[in-house]
Parts: sequence; structure tokens; C-alpha cells
Amino acid sequence: MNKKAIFNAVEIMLYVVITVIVAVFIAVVAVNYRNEEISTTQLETFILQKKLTNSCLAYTDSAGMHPYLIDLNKLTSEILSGCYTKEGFGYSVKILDFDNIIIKEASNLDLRQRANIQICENVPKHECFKKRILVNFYDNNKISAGYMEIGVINLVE
Amino acid sequence: MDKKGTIKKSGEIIVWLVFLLMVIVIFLGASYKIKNNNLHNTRVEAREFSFVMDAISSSSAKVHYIFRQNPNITININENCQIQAKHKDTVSPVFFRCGKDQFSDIKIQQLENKILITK
Repeated sequence: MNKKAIFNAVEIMLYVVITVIVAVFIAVVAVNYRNEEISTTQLETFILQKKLTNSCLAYTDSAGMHPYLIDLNKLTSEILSGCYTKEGFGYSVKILDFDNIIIKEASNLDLRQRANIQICENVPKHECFKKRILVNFYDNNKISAGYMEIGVINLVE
Repeated sequence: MDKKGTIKKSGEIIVWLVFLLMVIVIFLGASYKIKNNNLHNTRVEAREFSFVMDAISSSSAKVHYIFRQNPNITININENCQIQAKHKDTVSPVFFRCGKDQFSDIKIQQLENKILITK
């Protein structure tokens, strides 16, 4: 093989390498775009929070329902599971005072979710999210203010 | 330039064009696939319907809502709040779930390209 032929072979190899790099880049961008995950855990938590504060846990009297006034008698696992149950989606609800002392808590978690929520970052295909809001709560004919904390574990497909 | 030189030059140009054509074909193929992303649109439609259902059930007021469907996608929902969305050009449907609420009574009525949801 003479010097020119070797040069041509090197030149063609260079073209091939550049072409492959550009083609792979385009393909990777396209595949990533097509298979992009739609993360909805935060939105689901927001909807759950609205549902709990506006209807399921809201204190009700003769004047009607009082959104953001949490009736502590309603904060039970039975009411939570009747209120919002979704396959692969578990949650816990805590009512805390301003010193972060838990007044009452309940959850809608199965056995696996209960274990996984503690180590959520290491559990594959699961997403966790915590949300804390200010609420009033009604207990023993007394209204107090505090926080409602919702912890969510969600199976991401 | 002699005959040999001209043939060699044309050969180089053809090789260049072949590589350029490969890149253009891959680019066009990728952009076609992205533009006609039926699976993605079906997934989005299923999720959108699920969140509309959840938002309606979270309301403490009476609600009448008309969900405008993508005409190419059919949506079905069962009693366990499992939503099945299927694009007319794809074989397999996409499933997504909404939150099951035993306390509120939500009625769904399928109309042409619309779903009427009442609480």
C-alpha cells in the first residue's frame, strides 16, 4: 500500500467516525425526548392536599364544611383510604403544633410502602415528596393552629 | 487535472455525500418520530384525564365539567378509577389511575369527543 492509499483510508475512517458521532447524538436526543418521564408526584400531592383540606378531613357543622379546619376525629386510616386510594401511591398525614410536636397522625400505606418511605431515595422506581402547610385543627371543642404534613411515596412507571 | 485525478475527486465527493445523506436521513427520521409521538400524546391524555377526575373529586362544591378529548384517542374508565387511553394508530393502550374516592359520587357521560363529568 502506498502513502496516498493509507492517507485515503485514514480520511475515510475519520468521515465514518464523525458521521457515527453526529448520528448517535441525534438518535440519543430523539430517544431521550420520546421516552421522557412525566413526573407527576408533586401535582398528585397537591391534589391530595386539596382533597384532604377541602373535603375529607374538613370540619363540618350545621353551617357546612370548613376548608382548612381539620377535624382530628376524621384523621384515621379508614377515612384516608376511603378518601383517596390509588394503586402505587401511598401517603401519611401528620398534624403538628408550632413546636413540631405531633398531635395526631394517620396513613394510607401498605406494608411495603411503610417500609420504603423511610429509605425512599434508595428504592428504585419510587418517588417521594413531603408537603407542609398551615392549617387550623379542631379538637375537643377547641380550634388551634398548626401544620399539616403530607408524606407521599409514589411508584413511577 | 488528468483523468485519474478527476475520478478520484468525484469518488471523494460521493463518499462525502453518502455520509452527509446518512446524517440527514437520521435527522429526518428522528424529527418525524418526535412529531408523530402518538404514545407520548396518549400518555399525556390519560394523565390529564386522571388529574381532571382528581381535581373534580377534591372540590367541595358541585361541578359540571366538559373534558374535550383528542379526537384520535379514546378514553375509558372503570369502577376502580383505572383509565385506559388508546390512540387509533397504536395497538396497545396506555393505562393510568386516578384516586378512588368512596365518599363522592362522580358521574361520567361519554359524548362525541367530549366527556361530561358531574359531581
